[in-house]
Amino acid sequence: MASSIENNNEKLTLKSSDGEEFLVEKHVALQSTLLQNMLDSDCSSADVIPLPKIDARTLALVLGYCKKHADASSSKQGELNSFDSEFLKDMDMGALFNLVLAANFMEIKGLLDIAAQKIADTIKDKPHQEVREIFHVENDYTPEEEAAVREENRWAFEGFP
Amino acid sequence: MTAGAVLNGRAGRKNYKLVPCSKKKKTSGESSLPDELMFYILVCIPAYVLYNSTRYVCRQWYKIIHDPLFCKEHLLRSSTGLLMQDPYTPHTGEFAEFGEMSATVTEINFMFPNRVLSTCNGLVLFRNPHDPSTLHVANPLTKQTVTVPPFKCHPDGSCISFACAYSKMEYKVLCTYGPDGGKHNCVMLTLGKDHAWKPINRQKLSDRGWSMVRDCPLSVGQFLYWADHREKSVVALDVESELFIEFPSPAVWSFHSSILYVERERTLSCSVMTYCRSLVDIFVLSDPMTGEWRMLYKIDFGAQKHLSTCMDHASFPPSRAEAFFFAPVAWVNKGDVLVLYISRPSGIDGYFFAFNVKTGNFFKVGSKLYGTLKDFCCGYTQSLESPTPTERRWRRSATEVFNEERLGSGDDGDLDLDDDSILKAISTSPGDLDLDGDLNLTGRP
Repeated sequence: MASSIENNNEKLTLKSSDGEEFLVEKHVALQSTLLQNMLDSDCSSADVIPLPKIDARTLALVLGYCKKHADASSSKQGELNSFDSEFLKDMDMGALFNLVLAANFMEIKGLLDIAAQKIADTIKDKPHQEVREIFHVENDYTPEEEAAVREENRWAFEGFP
Repeated sequence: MTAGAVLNGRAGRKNYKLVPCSKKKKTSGESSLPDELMFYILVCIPAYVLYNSTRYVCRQWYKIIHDPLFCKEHLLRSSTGLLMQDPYTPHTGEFAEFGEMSATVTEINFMFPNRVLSTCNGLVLFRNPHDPSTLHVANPLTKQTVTVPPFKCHPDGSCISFACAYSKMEYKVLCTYGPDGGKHNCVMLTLGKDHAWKPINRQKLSDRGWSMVRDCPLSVGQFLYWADHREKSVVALDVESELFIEFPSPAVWSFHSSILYVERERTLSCSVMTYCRSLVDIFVLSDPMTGEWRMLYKIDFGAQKHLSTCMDHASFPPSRAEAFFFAPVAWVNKGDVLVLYISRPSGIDGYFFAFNVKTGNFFKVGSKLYGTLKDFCCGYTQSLESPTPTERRWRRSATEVFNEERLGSGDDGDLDLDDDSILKAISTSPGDLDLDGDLNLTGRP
């Protein structure tokens, strides 16, 4: 007697912050630890799971990632790696930020890791002035502080030999 | 706000759990992503970029980057490269980073004051150039340097090394001195904590094992290892417990083979090379406590046809008769790439070759220092580590000091950077100007 919980074809509905609904197979949703915990604690009785922090565009991307990783067998690691790099290839910074926030909220470790790595790779070769613009950060150092931080760079053996 | 606690929960890679996003109001200098996600992103950036550029972005990032937990997590994720040092004055250096098919070699932008004796987690140990009995431990990237409390023994008759006790991220320096023949002594000191050196108990160690301790050890993770191709045993010192361990070597030297020990991802590895067949067996020490070795790879360099054309001489694999020197130097790139040194028949101008054990790719590593390098290179991970916990604390207080200056008389003395009221005070202070026009901050100096 197979219960409905064990049925692999069971689907659940996720609702994005902007009201769009996504019908997802359960094994795909299980890529997210958040959803897994919700299903384990039997919150799944609700017809629709709202994800108030994630917009439809981001959620579609996240679910695309989850589907690929849920469907691929572990023996296809190489294929998954190339999928991952292709998946993020032409994504702009705004989309990457949303993806990181969504992966963190939904607890999808693999996605969080690759998106964080992608952002890191993009900013590591840029001067910090440009990095500030990308992250919408203002320079809040005073000249004295800036000098104090630079002073840390001194090398006790300067000028040797 | 509980940035510290959040970072704590996030730092352990196994303790992956959901952390609520920061509820703090947006203030200047705060990025569009919460701190815990910035931690995740910044930890993927190489140490030299973080130190020379990223930390200048804003105070919030500075604070994340200089958090000891961040430094440790960053270190554990960082990929190992190769440090090459000129043995002759001036002691210039090069650092090689390894990719899939190539190595990028950059000159190290500071002058080593002396030959590096030992490295651990991006830190280097060396003698003072003017007073060889004085030792220093430094991070060549951050330039933080500490002087090791003095121990009076003749520099020529002593061996110095150091390793990390990871539980408290303390670095311990070991010195063996005195005559050979079992009459030597062994003392140790914790940097930033001990003012005097204390003797190490040699209990459980055989006389043969103790005599090996006279030589310079390999610093690997939290262990110092004395391993020699002629010896049947390996001696290890666990710097955490400060106890010696002795266990059998995976193989013993013979006329047809040679044995070399190098670090692989904070683990001791042993390469057994059979000369005429150019086979290399790679063992790793799976548990130093039990001395259990595991065969990891069996590499047949003879089968790598492309390799001999890549090298400048026809007769590869090298045979003993040709007197080639063919030796693993380091494991780099997260333990996937083995760097080998291959000397030419003339004995000079050797090569470094990198062999990716996962993909089978191999490539030559360029270096200006060829010919002199044979004994002066090692696996090395650039890091933001400080030699002592005190140094780490000093870094934090530096931030607090300039915070204090900015706040004027700082009435209640509460200088917690995370205090919302202080952030408010900072964001409205007249010193809060965009300074980019006046400052010329470049990536690498």
